[in-house]
Amino acid sequence: MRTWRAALVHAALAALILPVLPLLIWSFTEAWPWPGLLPTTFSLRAWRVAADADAGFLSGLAASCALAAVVTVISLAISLPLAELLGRGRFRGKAFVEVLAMLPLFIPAFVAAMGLHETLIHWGLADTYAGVALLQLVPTTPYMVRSLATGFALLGTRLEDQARTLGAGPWQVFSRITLPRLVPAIVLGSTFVFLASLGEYLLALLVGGGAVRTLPIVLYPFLASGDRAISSMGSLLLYAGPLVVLLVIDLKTRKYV
Amino acid sequence: MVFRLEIEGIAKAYGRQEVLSATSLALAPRELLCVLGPSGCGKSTLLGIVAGLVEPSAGSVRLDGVDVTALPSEKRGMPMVFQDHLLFPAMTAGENVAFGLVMRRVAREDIARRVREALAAVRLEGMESRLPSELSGGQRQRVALARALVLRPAVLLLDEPFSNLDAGLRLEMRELIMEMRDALGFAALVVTHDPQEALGLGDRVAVMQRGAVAEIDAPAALYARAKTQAVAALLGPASFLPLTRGHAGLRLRDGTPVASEGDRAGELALCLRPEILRFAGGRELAGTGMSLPAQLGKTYFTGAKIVAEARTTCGTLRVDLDVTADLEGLARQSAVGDLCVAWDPSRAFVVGAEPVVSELELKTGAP
Repeated sequence: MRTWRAALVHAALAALILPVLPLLIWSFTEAWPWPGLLPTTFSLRAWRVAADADAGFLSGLAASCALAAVVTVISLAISLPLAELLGRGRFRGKAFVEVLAMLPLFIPAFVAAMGLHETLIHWGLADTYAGVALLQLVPTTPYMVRSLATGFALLGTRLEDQARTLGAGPWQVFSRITLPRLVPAIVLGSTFVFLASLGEYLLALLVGGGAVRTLPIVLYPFLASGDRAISSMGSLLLYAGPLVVLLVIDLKTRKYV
Repeated sequence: MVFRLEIEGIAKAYGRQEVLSATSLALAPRELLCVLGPSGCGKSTLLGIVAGLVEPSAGSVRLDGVDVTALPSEKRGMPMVFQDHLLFPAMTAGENVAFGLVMRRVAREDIARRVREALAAVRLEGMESRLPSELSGGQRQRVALARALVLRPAVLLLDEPFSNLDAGLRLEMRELIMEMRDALGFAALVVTHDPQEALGLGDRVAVMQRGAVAEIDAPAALYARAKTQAVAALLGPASFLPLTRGHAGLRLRDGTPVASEGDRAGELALCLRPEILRFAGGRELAGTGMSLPAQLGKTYFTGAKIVAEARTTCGTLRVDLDVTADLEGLARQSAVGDLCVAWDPSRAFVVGAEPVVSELELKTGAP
C-alpha cells in the first residue's frame, strides 16, 4: 500500500517536472536532427535574445507579472464580499447565485471581449493594460470567488465573535482575525488567477491591440515561426516567473496554514 | 440595590420559534450568577444577547444603569470566555492576552506589563511566546480567562467555560475564577449545564427551562427547597412521591400523612434526596409521616457510596448508603418484611409536580 502511494507520488512529480527538461535542452540548442538522442549543436543564441532589451522578453515578463498581480489584487478585492455571502450566508436561492458566480467560465472570454470592445473604446481603455486587466477579471474571478467561499465556509464566525467581545470593531475583526485565517484560501484563489492572467494570450491580443506587450504576446510569433530554441526559452521564462512568485508566497504565508 | 447588569424582559424568536420569552435577571457587583439549564433551554442565546452578539426580539440590557441594548459587542466592554477557549491560532499566548488591550490602544509598555501580570495570575508565567497549539487544554482555557480578565471588566461572561476540561481541571478553574473574583471584584454571568458547577460556583443559581427562568436562589436554598419537580431533578438526584390533599393535609398515596409543610395549589409531590434517606427496622417509625415500609431493590457500588433502591407502595426511592452498610442484613430484613425507608422531615420538601415528560419516556413510549 505504502509503496503504491510512493510510486504514485513519484509518478505525479515526474509528470510535472520532466516536461521541463526538453525545454531546457532546446533552449540551448541550435540543431537537434531526428533521431539523435542529444542535439548536435549547442548555442546561447536564445538566451542572448532573452537578454536583449529590444526583443522584449524581459520587459514582457515584467509586464505579465505586473498585470497578473494587479488582476489578482482587484479580483481578490471584488470577490471577498460575494465569497463571504456564498460561504457563510443562508438564504433562498443560494445554489442559483453560486451557479451565477461561475457563469463567466461557461462563456469563452473572447466572446465577452468582442462584446465589450466597443465599450472599452468609448472609455478609452482599448489598447491599454487597464483594459486588458479589466477583461481578464471576467474569466478569472470565478476561481477566486469559489476558493474564498470555501475558505469562508470553513471559518465559522466564533473567533470573530470572540474578538468582538474583546473590543475589536468590524475592520479590526476583518484585518486581524478573518483575513489571516483566510490566507490558505486567498493563496489558492490568487494562484489560479495569477497563473490564468500570466499565460493569457487572446484577450491581451484582442484588447491590447499590439500596445500591450505581455510575455505570451512577445512569444507567440516565435512559436508560430517554429523557432524551437527561442520558444523553449520563452516558455521557461513563463514557467520561472510564477515559480518564484509561488515560492515566495509559500514562504511568507507558512505560519497561517 | 444597585445592579451591575440588568437583563429585562429579554425575548428572542427565530421566525416563529421562540427560544427566549421575557427573561429578566440582575447581577449585583461582585456576584457570580450561574444560569443552569438543559441544552436548548435558551441559556446560551441569553448570554449571546448580553454580549451583544445576538440581537434580542424584545427587552433591554443595562450595564451600570446604562442601556446598552443597541451597542455593538465591542463597545460593551463585557469580555466572554467560551467553552472551546477560542484562542487566536496564529497568535502566541501573550499576543492573545494583549488582543483586547491593543484594541483599546493601551500604551505598549503598559500592555507588556499587564499581559505578564495576567498570565502570572492564571499561573502561566513565562508562557507568553507559546502558540495555542503548544499548550494543553487547561492552559489554553487559562489563557482565555487571562485574555478576558486583563481588560479589568466590570462584568465577565462565561459560556460553559470548563465543560471541555476533565474533572480535576474543572475544579481548578472553578477555584481560579472565584479567587480572581475576590481579587479583582468583577461580577460574572456563567452559563452551564452542569449542576455541580452551578451549585459550586454561583452565589446564586438561575435555572432555565424552555426559554424562561424557572427559579432563582442561593445554591443551598435552591437545592434544598426547589419549587418544582423539574428544577429539583435538574439540580441533583432525587425521588418524588406523588401527594394527595386530604382534609388533614397532604398524604402519600397509601394514606400516610406527610409531616413536611408546603401545601399549595396544583399537583404536588414529596421530594426526597438520596442523602436524607436511610433504612430502618420495619415498625420503628411507622405512622410518623417520615417513613414507609420498603423492600430492598437493586444496589450498586459507585466508589464513594452505595446507591440502593427502596421499593415502596408509593414509588421507588433512591437511597445513598455508606460503603460499610450491611447489605446482606438489609436483604434479610427486606425478605421478612421488617424494613422501612425513613427520612428527615425537615429536609424533605414539597414540589409542584407538573407532568414532566422526559426525552427517554417520549422515545420508549413508557407511561
